[in-house]
Amino acid sequence: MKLLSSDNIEIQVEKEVAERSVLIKNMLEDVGETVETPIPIPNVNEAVLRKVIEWCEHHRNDPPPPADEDSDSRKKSTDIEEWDQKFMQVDQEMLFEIILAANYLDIKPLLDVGCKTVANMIKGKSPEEIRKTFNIQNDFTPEEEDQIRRENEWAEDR
Amino acid sequence: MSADGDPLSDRYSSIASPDLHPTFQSTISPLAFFTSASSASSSSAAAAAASSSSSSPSFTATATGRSPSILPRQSSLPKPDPGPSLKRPDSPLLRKTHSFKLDEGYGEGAEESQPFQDSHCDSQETARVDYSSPGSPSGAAAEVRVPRWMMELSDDVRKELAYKLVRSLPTSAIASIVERLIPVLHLDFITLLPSELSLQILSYLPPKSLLNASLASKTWRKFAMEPRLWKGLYKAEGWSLNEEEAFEFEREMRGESKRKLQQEAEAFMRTRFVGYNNGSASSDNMSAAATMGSEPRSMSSFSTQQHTPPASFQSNHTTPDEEDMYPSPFVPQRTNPVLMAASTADPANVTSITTYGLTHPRLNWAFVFRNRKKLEENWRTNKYVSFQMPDPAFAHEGHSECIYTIQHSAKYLLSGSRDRSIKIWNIHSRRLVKSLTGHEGSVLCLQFDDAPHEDVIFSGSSDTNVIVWKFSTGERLRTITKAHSESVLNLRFNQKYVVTCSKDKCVKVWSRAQLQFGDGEYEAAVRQIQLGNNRLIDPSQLPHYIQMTGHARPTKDLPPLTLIHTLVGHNAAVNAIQLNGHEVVSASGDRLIKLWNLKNGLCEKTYVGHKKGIACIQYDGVKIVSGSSDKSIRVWDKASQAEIARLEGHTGLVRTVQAGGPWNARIVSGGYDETIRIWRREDENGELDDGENPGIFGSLRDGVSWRTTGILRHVNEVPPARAHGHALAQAAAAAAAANAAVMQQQQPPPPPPPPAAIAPPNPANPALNAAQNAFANVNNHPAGNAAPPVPAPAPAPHPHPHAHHPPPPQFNVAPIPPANVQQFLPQPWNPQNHNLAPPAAAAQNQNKVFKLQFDARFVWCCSQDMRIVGWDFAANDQDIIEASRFF
Repeated sequence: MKLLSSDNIEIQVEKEVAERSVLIKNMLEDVGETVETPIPIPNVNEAVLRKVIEWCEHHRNDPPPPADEDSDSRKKSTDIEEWDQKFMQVDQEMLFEIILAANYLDIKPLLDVGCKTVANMIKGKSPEEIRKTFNIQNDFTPEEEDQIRRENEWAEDR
Repeated sequence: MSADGDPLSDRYSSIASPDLHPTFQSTISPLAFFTSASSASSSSAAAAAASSSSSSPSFTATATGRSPSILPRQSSLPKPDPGPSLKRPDSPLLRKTHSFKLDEGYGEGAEESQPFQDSHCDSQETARVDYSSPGSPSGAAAEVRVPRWMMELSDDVRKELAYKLVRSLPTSAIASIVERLIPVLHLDFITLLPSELSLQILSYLPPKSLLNASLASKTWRKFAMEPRLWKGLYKAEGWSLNEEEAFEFEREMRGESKRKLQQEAEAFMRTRFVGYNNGSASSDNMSAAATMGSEPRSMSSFSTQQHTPPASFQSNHTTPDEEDMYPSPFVPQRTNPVLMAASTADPANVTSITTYGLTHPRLNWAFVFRNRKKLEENWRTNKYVSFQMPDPAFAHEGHSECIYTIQHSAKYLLSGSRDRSIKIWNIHSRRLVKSLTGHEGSVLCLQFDDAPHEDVIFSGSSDTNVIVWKFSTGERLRTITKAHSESVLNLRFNQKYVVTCSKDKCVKVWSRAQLQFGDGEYEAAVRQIQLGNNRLIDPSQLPHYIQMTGHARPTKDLPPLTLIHTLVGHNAAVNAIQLNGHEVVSASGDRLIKLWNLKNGLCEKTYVGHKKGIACIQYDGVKIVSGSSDKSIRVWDKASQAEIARLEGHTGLVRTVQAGGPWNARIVSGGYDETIRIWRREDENGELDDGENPGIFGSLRDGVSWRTTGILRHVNEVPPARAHGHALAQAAAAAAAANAAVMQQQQPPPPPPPPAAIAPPNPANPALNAAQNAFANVNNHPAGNAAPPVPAPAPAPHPHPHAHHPPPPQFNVAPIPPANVQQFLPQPWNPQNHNLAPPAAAAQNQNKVFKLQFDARFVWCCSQDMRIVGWDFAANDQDIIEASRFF
């Protein structure tokens, strides 16, 4: 089957791979089996779409994620498997667009990996380092910042 | 800055570009394309950009104005095709390429290895460029266009061209270009992504990182302090959580309490609609409704699906999806609520129990988290205040003899005493609510449920009877006379069964409901009649119950509290039982623990290991915890029957034990050595072991150990000092300087009480108290190395004399004679225990602990004393106390 990116590029993809996207899967179910015309993905450009498909191909045989009822009651891990880590070694814009595309296409595991990647960019950093990493302007007054720092001291130990 | 060929990335990352930020925002604002949730943020960002930087270059200028110095005259050419991505509003960044390159990541430019060739660039040529405002080229420079022929070159060629062009510039110009590129390479994900994705990102962060993130900017702070994140972190710590209270709090905040009556009328409807949360309507009771309602959007359901809330919630909002967080009619559909809230003046903080919301304050889970953490620290460091029930000012409300059993709920504590009464206490006021009399012997065991649908107390006594009371009225509903042939030592019930155990070596199982033929228990109950075990129904009555051939149904139902099973197998008194579903574990003076299946009345497993009789037991369906006269506490794996932990430290019989706390990593035990020990399961690093590592249930894992972190004392003697005089002296000094909050339980008078000795200003007592304080605060004594008692060194004068209340009048009552104690103790664990109180020792042993209970904040215990003693680990911290209703 074919997907049509927002910049009108047709991309050939196996149905099984494309169905990692719940959005596409549901679409196919609605449309029926015969899919000849390319499915338009109006929100994702070719570069990002190819990247997403690359991920879906690698993960085509993944078992469905376990029902995640318990996830709230356990410490959330930011562990990312090695292949995904490499996959996510992209510039911030691409990462940003992968996250948006995964959200739009409803590929939850990819969305999770993307969000974890960003979380790992925040983790362990000082506020100053976080501002640099994400090009954030500090809009606190020194007094405000000082007060928040003092308030946050309770988490310092251990 | 030397032109030494450093990778660009090494430098640009350290250059701030404050004036470019708004520009960047305006250029990427259309990014919010997948969900319209960001539209408000983008427009506000654009507005901000417009007001703060009217000279901001347009996106096109940014994209094309990068090389003004060598392309000045080409600007008359037609506007170049800016590249496919620029045609779309959804990819407005500088990616102009169709092809994706993995190595394009920032800081990894391929050209970085290029030898630096143009360091001798022509200073005259560059001098023409105005550097006064490096971020925003002005005048003609801003009009520069990249010629079409250039745009048609391949990416690689353009890349190389751009690089060489850049290197032709003076370093200061390169720096300014780098500055201008920062927004391209560094994206503020949290501000730019749809808010649910920003929250998902932050949900992966541990508390410390989240707090650091909260300092990045005001917008980040609004996200990082979001209550749902902190609620998730709270749960991830394994801390208990009172969802009903949280729900109630939110409802109060919503002002819906005014419409409470109306709501109650709608309660039924609400339970029907509880599935609005995530489409899984699974609950059929109010508590489930409360649970779901208090967190209508869990982290895992941040999807964009719309929910349909029940009509009762649709009071004043238009966006059901955002209802519980931001119920406002003024929130436009699918806007970014967190960004909206970020514009309010008051930043979120962790010092208040409420936090911002658009129309009403919300429960601030960061505050709850912080105070729970403080409370857990207090457990670890033995910071508490002690108290007693009854309140000393109302001492007359107390029992007149020692107390064998207690149990508490959120509002009440019940105690059963040797004085044959059961007393119901208000747990907050510590005042007597009601006293129930009816037993003809000591009340040895009880269990109650004050929930309206149960409203019941079961009690067992040395008079061999079991009494069923109506909790709310104190009315005596039923008496099972001679439930056993000897003292009823323990009793547990659930919705289906009542289980009792006795000194007569038996465990008996009673049905709570009336039994009809066809019920699983009916046949078993009839068998008990046949065997003559049912004292109420004579075997001669059997024809009424046994199904006759040809009869569709026997003639009679069996009444509630009919005996179903008599579990026989122990060879000594059964001292304690626990009930879990249809399983019972029993602990006996025969040193064995047995697991029984109530479906068939058979013993399924036996746990062997204790060297002496077993006094107490707890069971959670997976693990069994037992305390024995061999002074040890053991943890057993139910399935494999393996002993997975042994806790040694008590110097006497372990009479009461409870496991709980985060990850069930806390055990509190008490015994005849008059101490209560607090144990903590730790990994090899001394951190709380959360049991996550598989194997914890199967075997004693390497590195995991139970350590005594605190010892609470109920004694009226100078505690034995440790051999380590130095440590004790230190601790004593520390205690002397300690917070008033940290107080040892006030002490009863010395054992032989000459009335004069208990006159309140007793100069010895403050020092004694402080010393005991110090003792309790030494939290690292290894288990079981008690040294011979030596007098505690006298610390500094007691800094908080008010903490030592005058002894209540009943202190003057002569201590319970040891002989009596022996006689009335439900004691036949095993022969060794019968001589546990030789007269000399008994004079000192006035506070053998009989039963304890603990929850997130309190430990309560009863002992040979007539008072119930408690320790509050909130230690007078008002914030912890305020937050503790949600624990």
